[in-house]
Amino acid sequence: MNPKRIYKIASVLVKSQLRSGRSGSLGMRFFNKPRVILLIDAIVFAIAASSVYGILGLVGVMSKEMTSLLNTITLQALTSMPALIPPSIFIAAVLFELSVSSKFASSDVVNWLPVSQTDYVSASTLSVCYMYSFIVALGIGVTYPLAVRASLLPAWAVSATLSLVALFATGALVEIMRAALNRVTSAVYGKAGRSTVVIRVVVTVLVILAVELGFNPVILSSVVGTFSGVVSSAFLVPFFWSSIAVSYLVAGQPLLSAAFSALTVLFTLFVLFAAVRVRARYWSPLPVTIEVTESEYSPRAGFLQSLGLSAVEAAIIRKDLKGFTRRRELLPYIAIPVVFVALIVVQQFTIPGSNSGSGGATVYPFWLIGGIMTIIVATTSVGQEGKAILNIYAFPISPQVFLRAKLLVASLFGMVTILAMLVVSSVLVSASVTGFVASLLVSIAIVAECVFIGLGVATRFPDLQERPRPRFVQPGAMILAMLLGMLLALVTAFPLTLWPFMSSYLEGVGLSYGVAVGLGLAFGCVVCVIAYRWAKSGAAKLLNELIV
Amino acid sequence: MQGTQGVDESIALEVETVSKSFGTTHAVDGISLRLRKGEILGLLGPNGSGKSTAMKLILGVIKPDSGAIRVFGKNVAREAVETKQLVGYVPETAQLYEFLSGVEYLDFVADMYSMTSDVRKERITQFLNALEMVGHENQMISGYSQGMKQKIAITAALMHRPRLLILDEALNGLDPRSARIVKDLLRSLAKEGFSILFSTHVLEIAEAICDRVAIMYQGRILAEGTVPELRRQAGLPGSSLEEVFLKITGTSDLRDVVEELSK
Repeated sequence: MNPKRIYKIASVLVKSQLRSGRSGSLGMRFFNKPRVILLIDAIVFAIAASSVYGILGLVGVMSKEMTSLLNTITLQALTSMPALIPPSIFIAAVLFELSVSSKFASSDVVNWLPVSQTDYVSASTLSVCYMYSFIVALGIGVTYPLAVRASLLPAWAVSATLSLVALFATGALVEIMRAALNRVTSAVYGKAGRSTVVIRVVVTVLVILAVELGFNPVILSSVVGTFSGVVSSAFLVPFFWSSIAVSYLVAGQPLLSAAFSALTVLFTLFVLFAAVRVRARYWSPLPVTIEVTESEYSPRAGFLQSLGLSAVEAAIIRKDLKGFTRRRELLPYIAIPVVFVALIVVQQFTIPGSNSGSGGATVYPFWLIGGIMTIIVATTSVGQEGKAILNIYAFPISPQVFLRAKLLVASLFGMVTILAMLVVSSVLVSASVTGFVASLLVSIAIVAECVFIGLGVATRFPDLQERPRPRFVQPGAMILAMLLGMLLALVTAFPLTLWPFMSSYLEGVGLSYGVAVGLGLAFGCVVCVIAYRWAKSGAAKLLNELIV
Repeated sequence: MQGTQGVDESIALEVETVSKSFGTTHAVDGISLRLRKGEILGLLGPNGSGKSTAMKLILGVIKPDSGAIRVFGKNVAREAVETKQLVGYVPETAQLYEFLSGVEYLDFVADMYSMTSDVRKERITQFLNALEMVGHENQMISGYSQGMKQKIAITAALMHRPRLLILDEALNGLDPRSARIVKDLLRSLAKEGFSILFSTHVLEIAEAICDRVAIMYQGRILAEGTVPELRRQAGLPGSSLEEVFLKITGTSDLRDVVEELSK
């Protein structure tokens, strides 16, 4: 191991990650030195600590019960912190890793530079620690004033130190995950056929699902919460050793605390060692070649044209749909709705009483989730073309045809997502047929609104730059589109959502289920007409002149 | 050779005093060109001379600040979709949808030009065979080498039989056999009446396949004509096109540069 070299490589990797989603000289200058991250961490710590200190100051002198409650919360926070850091960071890291275009994911450079795999993996782990250190800074900042108030400063010191160790363990875990993704990708190398693509999608979605459920902080916090102060069978899980160490210290058993702290450090070293070995074994020096089919080329009219679409529209739609299943950076778009549905189902069966409510009220958040996903797909649909948008400019395509194709892709995605969520939620709350149909109609209106607004933004503010982490749309425009989409979805769904609560009063003034749906649909139609015109003029402007 | 609407059918491309600036940079500065039916016009110039911008202007993907461009009598700015139907374009760097396989991309392009099933199958198969892409056609483009991507881009530009071909450094990255096939194909297409605008850095290629040559430098066309005409213009009879090019662009005094580099 060469520490100087490791630091140098880590600096380059951090710069690459920080700059990959940014443009403009300000961002470049600001992130010129990765050491700036330590400054950011110090600021995060100071803000978090002073905010909590300020809140405690405002509360002033507490009653005995309140003090006891605060001590319990502090103890839980200190024991949970080192155990909850890995899952929080790991979830973020998985999504980050998957958002990296496979074009940029190969590790060519390290193959011809004189760098050992141990040095490279250690540097890569260090770069992950740099990137997510603000989470630790936030945690230890929040808990510091609490620990001072509860006279648990030694426990805070151990918890903070073990949180930093946990950060390194997570960095190494991310390396293992990278190797696993390489393994999945290379497993299909040399194999052919559509099943290869399907397997790749399914396995990737399953990896995301497993990570999101297995490392879900809500689920894990309930596990960790069961042994704050009392050591249970949690000692079987190495990620909980740090929490156990803090618990023993608070319980007045410093030797056991030291033993579990030492075990935590040993476990981290083991994970790092495993990461080096696994990465070395599943190194991916070149992008893999995937053969999508073995059959001979034979042109077909296809299903879409039988629905009345033109050959050009159908071709663009087919291309975009293939992109969803084949582009690594787009796979989260498929995975996220699946994860949401899974989380809802898991929550429904694990948290008692969460299936209360009926009709539109309970499915209301699913409209928002479906709407947000539709907005994301629609706003990124133009930027997904990347530099290959030159094709669209060079081919004899009118802006209207281009817009219609993009519109249909986003609508299809939105409808499938929202329908899946609606069906699951309706089953879970045993919704009536009338309630389901009413929700479905309102869902269609919400999807249409989100698609038109998203396309209006996509055509006006696309980001066609091909970076390691492509953005597809200018970030400010994306945020505005999401806020606007959510607001309009809320307004459209409002009468139907209100209905279950106020039906007994509203029936008296003539507001029936049908009227509630009608109001939502009428509002949706008005929004769609306005947003469609906006999107149409955006498409005409976009295709007027090449912007790459 | 007047067409039904008073259009001279023998003129494939007319560029009239076209200019285009990006900020303070004059990428194209008042150029005029004329390409006849069945002719190959070579556009030569050093890097950054404005060749690619000129080609994108002709294709209609960027708009001129001033001047007019007509393809077979159609105004490129006003009849963009109709003009593009007549044109095939190979960009400087192949910009393909890398998540599609080679044959899927070609099928996509065939849809864009409304090619019938029989014709597209025949042409795609012909090109894949000729350019030795058989066996790779079902692989994702992301796994292709630069040369293979270029072969797909060339096939995509040629397979719908465009009346005007715009080739921007089209032979870049091709292996010698494929480059020879493409060169011979271009000559054959020109004989059949197809018009070709061809940019290249490789002067031997220009000399071998172009009927006329235009030399571009700093956004302007400095000289235009057949190779013998250019030799006469440069006052270098019997010299190579390279010497003519260097003299016309004023970049012939290279001795000092070479000496500096070899120190």
